[in-house]
Amino acid sequence: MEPDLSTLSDPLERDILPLLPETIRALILGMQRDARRRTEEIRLRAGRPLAVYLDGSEVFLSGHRGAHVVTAQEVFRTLQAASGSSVYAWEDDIRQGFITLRGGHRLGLAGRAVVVDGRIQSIQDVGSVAIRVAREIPGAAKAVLHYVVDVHARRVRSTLLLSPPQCGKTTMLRDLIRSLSCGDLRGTGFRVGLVDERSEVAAAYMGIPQKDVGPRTDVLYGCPKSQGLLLLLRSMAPDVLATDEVGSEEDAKAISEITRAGVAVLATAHGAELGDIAARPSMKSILNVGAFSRCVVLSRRSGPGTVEAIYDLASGRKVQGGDLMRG
Amino acid sequence: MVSFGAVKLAGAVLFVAATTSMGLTAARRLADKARFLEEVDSALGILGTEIGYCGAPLAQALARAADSSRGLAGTMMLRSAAVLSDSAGSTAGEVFRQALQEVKDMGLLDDTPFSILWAFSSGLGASSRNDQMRLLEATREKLRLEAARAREQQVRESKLYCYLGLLGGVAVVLALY
Repeated sequence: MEPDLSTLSDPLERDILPLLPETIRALILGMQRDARRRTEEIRLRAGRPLAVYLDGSEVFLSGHRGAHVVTAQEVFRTLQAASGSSVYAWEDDIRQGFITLRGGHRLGLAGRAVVVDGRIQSIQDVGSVAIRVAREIPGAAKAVLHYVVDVHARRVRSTLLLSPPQCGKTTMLRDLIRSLSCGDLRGTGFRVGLVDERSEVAAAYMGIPQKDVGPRTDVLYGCPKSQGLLLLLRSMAPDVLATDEVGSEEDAKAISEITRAGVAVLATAHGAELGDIAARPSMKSILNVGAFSRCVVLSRRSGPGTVEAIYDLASGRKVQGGDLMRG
Repeated sequence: MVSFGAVKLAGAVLFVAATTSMGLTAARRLADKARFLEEVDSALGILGTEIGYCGAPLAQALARAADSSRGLAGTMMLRSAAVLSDSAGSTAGEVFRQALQEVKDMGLLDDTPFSILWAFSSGLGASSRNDQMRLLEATREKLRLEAARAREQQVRESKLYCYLGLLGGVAVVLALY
């Protein structure tokens, strides 16, 4: 008999399995529990084998009759279930290529892009969906917290978290926000304003953060980062402003303005090392104006969230590095 | 003691009452069919407002449409909304089709409006807002035609069924007398 999925504690089992068609659900439930709980992503590609991503590689799932080939109907049903049969209500998100699910998980999709006036209007005939399982790791930022907070001055240093995709940037940012908001280092926490453009950090669903971002965190989501940061600066009097995946010229301008206003910024960016972002014009301008004091470089060398180095950007020196640290 | 004639008379009255009731039921069913289609049309109008202007998720949009709708159409929307909210694995199309089948089993949907609503259910919630609005408008257009047809049929045939029930019963009674 299939277990009551709503009572299970693992987020994949509790939040994601109920959205999957029965055949696929059975295959995933057929995996060893330990492997299931290490699964980072489930991929359904119409006409191709069902795949899960775990331990750094994608593997195809097989049943008794060999590899399960995903049908277009299964992809359709998954998208319907994920959107609560309300694809139209998620249009803005779908235009960006994803839907945030209850529990903060993300369903990315690919299919036929409908382009109007050079901009993606919608994605139709969806042929692939990738469900990324969001798992909170409380304490993920513990190793870097002392480098981010100046405990004596009771001040947060503006910090950029840098890594290639799937190395734990967002997880670490979320835990940093939570720690600062809770006041993990010292009694009173900081007021944090989070601009969560793609709802990845707080994973707000119907207005309520699904992830623990702390009691003193105000979340503005679904809003362009540059506009959102300035809006929160004016409206919510934050001590710290945080956002995910900065990189545009507008982001750079907003961050410069915020740091000049005396508010610390926590942000993430794609890049394997500091030199990568210094080569990008928009990021270079942020670094040049000294908006960030610290840069934490992450990798997944010893698993997601491995801290490769921490730089003091004012002096350009490593303040921590060489030895591997896990967040 | 009750005479044989009185029993016959009572039987005749009961028989005529039964056939008259059958005639009235058939006439009322014609009215119910037309009314159901009009109610569905009106409920789809409200659903369109919820989807098009409020962008409400379908379960919520269906529940609101149910609140503002009367009769069986409202009940159908409410049940669809409830099932959709409760079962993450079901699609809106499946839920709506199940509700439709129940209405058809009650004899309130002819083949043509049933197939119109069945086709509508396949696209329900599965596309962009503009497409949903177009789907709703096209469905309502067809339903209005069907409702007008059903109303004409009701006007044309309801009296016929009433008289047929009464007179048919009387005719049988007279023949047996």
